[in-house]
Amino acid sequence: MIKLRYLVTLAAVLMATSCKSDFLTGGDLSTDPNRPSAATANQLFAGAEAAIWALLGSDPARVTGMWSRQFAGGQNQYQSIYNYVYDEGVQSGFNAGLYAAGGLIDIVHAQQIAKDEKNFALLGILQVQEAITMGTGADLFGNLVYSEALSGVPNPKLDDQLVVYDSVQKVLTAAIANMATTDVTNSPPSAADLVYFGDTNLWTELAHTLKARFYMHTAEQRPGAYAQALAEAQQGISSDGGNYFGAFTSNAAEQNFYFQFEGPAGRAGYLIADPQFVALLASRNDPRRVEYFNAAGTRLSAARLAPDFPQPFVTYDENTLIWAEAAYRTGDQVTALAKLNEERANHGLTAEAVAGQVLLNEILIEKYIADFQLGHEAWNDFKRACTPNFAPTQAGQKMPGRMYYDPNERLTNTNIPPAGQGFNGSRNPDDPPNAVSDGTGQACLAG
Amino acid sequence: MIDHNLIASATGSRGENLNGTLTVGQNLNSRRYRSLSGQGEGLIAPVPLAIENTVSQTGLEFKSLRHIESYFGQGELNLYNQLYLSAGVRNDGFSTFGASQRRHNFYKASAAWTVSNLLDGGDQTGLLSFAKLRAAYGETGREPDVYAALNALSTIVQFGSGYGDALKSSIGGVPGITSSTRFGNPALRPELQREVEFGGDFGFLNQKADLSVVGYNKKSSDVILPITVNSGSTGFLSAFQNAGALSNKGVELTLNVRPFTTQNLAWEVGVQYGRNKGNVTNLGGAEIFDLLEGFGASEAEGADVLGYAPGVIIGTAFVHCGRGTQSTVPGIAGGLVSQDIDALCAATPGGYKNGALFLAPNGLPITDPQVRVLGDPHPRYTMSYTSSLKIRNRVTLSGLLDVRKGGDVYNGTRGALYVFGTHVDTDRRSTQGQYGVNYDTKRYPDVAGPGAGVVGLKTPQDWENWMSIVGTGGGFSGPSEQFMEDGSFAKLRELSLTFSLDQPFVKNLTGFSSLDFRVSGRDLKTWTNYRGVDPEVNNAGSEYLTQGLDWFANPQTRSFVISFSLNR
Repeated sequence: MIKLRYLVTLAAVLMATSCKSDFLTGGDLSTDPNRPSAATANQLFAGAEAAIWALLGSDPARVTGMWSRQFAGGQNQYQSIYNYVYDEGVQSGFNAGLYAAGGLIDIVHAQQIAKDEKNFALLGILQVQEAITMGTGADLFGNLVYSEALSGVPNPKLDDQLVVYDSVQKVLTAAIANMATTDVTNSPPSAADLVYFGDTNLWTELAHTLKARFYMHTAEQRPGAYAQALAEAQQGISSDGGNYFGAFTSNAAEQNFYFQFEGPAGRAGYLIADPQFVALLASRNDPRRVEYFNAAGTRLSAARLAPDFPQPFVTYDENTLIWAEAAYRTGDQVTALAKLNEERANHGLTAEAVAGQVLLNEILIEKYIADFQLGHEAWNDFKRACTPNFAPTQAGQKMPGRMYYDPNERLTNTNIPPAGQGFNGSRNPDDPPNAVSDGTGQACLAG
Repeated sequence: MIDHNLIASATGSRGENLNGTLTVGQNLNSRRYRSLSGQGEGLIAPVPLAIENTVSQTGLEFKSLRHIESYFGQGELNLYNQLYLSAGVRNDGFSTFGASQRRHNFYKASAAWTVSNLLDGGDQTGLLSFAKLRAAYGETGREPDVYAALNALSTIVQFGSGYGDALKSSIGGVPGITSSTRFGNPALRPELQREVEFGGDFGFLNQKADLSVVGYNKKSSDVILPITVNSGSTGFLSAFQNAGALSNKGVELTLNVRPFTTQNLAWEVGVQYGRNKGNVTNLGGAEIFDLLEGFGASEAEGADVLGYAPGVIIGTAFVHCGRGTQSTVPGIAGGLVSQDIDALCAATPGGYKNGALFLAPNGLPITDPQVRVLGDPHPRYTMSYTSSLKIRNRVTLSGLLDVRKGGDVYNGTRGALYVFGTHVDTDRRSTQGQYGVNYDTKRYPDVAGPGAGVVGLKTPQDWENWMSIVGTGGGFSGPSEQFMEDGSFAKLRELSLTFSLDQPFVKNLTGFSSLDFRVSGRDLKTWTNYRGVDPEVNNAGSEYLTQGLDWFANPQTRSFVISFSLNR
C-alpha cells in the first residue's frame, strides 16, 4: 500500500506540473509554419485577378466557345461536349470557384481591408472584381447563391438570375461612385494591377461596359434594358487601350490558358476551329480569319497560342457593338450604323451602308466575330439573339444554354435540384430558347 | 521524434489465487517533421541526372511540429489462474486540436476465462480439451492531420480546370494571396473508435482440432473527414469536421483439423471464414463523401455514401424505371421537355418491373445525369482453405485456396475497349442487337418504356455510333454502370512442395544440419465469371479505401519460386 501511495503522489505532481507548462501550445504548435496568416488588400486583389482570368479564360470559355460553334471538339471529352453530351462535371469546378479561394471570399475580405483603410479607389476596383465574378456566374449557371453567400447558413437560397444581375448592377454603381472619390487615403493598386496599373479612369470605363454587358443579358426579359445598356456603353471602354485582358507571361503556370491547354496540359486536338466559323470569316473577307486561326483554318493562330498572349476579356469592340445594337433596338439606326462602322474600321474593314433588319443582322454578326474568345460572351449573345443562325451540332437538339451546377454544391444545398431538373437544366426559365433568329427573322436553328 | 515515458508499476498478491498489477505512467511525445525537396523536369542533355541539367526546377518544403502529452493507468487481476481481468484509462492531450478540445479520456477493459482449467485442471485432453471465452472493450482516439484546426491563407492555390491548365495566384512577379480551399476547424474532437469483441477458443479430441470464433462490433464516431462544404455558404471547398460515423460488424471463424500427427504422416487442414458488414451512418449532413480515388464522379469513383459500406463505387447509370427520374428523352417532344420516366414506363404494354431499364423510342437506353452508387467492392464473405501434408518429416505438400463471394468491380478496361472496337463483344456488329432480348440481357434482364420491343442496334454503323467515343454504350461517355461486374472468384493462391534432408550424411558432406529444397507457385489458377483479366486488380492500389476499379491495371502476377536453403 505504501508503494501505491507514492505512485498516486507522483502522478499528482506530474499532473500539476503539466497544467502550468504549455507543452501543447506555442511556436510551430499553434501557427502553421507553411502558410501565411495575413495578407494585404493588394495581395488579395492580385489573387482574385488570377481567379477571374481563369473564369474567363479557362474551361468555361472553351466549352461555351464550342457550343457557340466558334470552336469544335476534336477528340475525347471535348468531342462529347461539342455534341451536347456532358454531365455535372462540365463546370470544371468554376461554380464553387465563384465563392472559394480567389473568389467572393477573398474579394469581400479585401473590400473590408480597403474600407478600414478608407482606400475607396481600391474598394471600387474590388467591387468591379466582384461584379465580373458574380455576373459571369449568372451567365453560366443562371440562379445563384448571392444574397446569402458566405453567410454560413446551411442550404443558402439561390437568387433568381435576374435578381443576381440587379445586384451586380448595384455593385457596379457603387464601384463607379467609390472610384470617383478623391480622398487622400485613396491608393489604387499600381504595380499590383497588371492590366490598368491602378488607373481608376480605365477601371471606371470597364465598370460601365460591364454594366452595359449585363443589361444586354437581361434584355430578352426586359426590353427596357436596351436603353440602360446604351447609356452605359456611351461611358464604356473608349479605345483598345482600355481593354480588360489577362496579363499572362511566358513563365510556367502564368501562361495563357489556350497555350497551356494545347501545350503543357497535352490537350492538342481537343479544341479545334469550327469550320462553320472559319467559313463565315472567310466569306466576309474578314482579316480576323488569319488573326484568329492558322492558314489552314484548323486551329488557333500562332499569335493566339503564344504563352504570353494578352487574352482580351472585355473590349472596346464589344462596347462599340453594344452601343450599336442598343441604339438600333431603341430606334436610332443612324448611331447604330455609325458604331458598326466604327468597329469595322478598327479592323480595317470598309464602312457599310445598310438599314433595317440587315443592319441588325450585320451588327449581331460583327459582334459574334468580335466576341471570339471574350470569355463566354459570344455564347451569351447567341442565346439572346440566335444570330448568326447556325445549325446545332445535333439535329433536333437545342444548344445548351446553361451549365449544370457543381454536384458538390448541389449535394450540400437542398435548394439546388438534381441535374436536368427545374432550373438545374440546360436552360434557365429566365432565358428561354429563341423561336426566331433576331438577325434574319427566320426560325432559329440551334437555340 | 522525441519520446519520453515514465512508468511505475506495482504488483501484489493475496495467496496463490489472487495476483494483481497496477501501472501508471506519463508519455511525452514530440514529432518534428521537415521535408525539403527539389524537382527538375525535362533533361537538357541525356546525362547527367542532375537538377542543374533540367529545363525547369521546383522546390517544395513542408514543416510541422506535433506534441502529445498522455497519462495512463492500468490494473490487471488474475483470479484462480483462470480468470484474467484488466481495466485501464488514458488521458491524451494533443497539440493538433483547438484550445477547447485538447484533452480526452479513453477507457478499456477485458476479461478472459479459461473454462477448461476449471474443468480438468488444464491438461488439454479429452473431447473438449481446451476452452477459453473472452470479451474485450477498447477505445482509441485519433488526432487530425497537423494544422487541421488552424486557419491560414495560401500562396499555392492555382486556378484552372481538371484538364491540367492552371494559373498561379502570383503572376508577373506580383504577389498574390488567397484563402485556403479547406477550412481549418478549431472545434475538432478526436476520432473515437469503440470496439467490442467477443470470442472463444476451443480445442477438441486431445487438441486434434481447434476452433476459434470471434465476433466484433467496431464503431467509429466523430471520424475526421475533409468534408465537402457548400462553397456558396462558406467560401471554402471543404472543411475538416468530426463528420463521419461508421460501423463494421463481423465474424471470423477458424477451424484447424489435424487427423494425423504421427512421425510418418502429419496432415493438417484448415478453413477460415470471414464476413464483415460496413455501414456509413453519418457524413455530417452530406450524402456522399468523394474519396477522390478513381476517375471522377462522372466515371467510376470511390466514395463513402450514407447507408452503404465505406468505399463504394459511385458513377453514372442508365435511366431506370421506378426511381422517380425526370429526364428529357430523345424522340419525345423533340428531346427538349423533361419527361416523367416512371409514367412512360407505366405506359409500356404489360407494365414494368421496378428497376427495369428504360428504353427511349429508338430502342436504346439513356444516361441518367445523377451520380449514383453503382456497386460495393467489398465481398459478402471470404473463405480460405489450407492444407498441408508432411510425410516422414521430409516431404511437405501444402496449398492455399482463396474464395471471395461477391464484391463488385468496375471493368473500365472493357468500356474503353468497346470504344476502340477491340473487345470481343464488339465482334457482333454485323448482327442486330436489342436490349432486353439479346444484348446485355444478363445485366439488364428487364426493359420498359416506349422503346421496349424496338431493335435499337440494326447496322454495323449503329453499333459503331452506340459504342463510339461520344456514344452512350461505350466507356468514355457512356454510363459506367454497364461495366460493373461481379468480382467473385476462387483462386489457387499457393501450392508448394518442400523436401527436407536432415540425415547424418548431409551434415557429414556439407557441414550444415539440414537442407531444404522448395518449389512453389503463386496465383496458379483463377475461377471467376469476371470478364477482365483479374477481379482483384485495383487502380487506386490495394492500400486505398476503394477497391474494385479496373482500368488497364496490372493483374496479380503468377509466380514460381524455386528455393534452396541450408540450415546450420
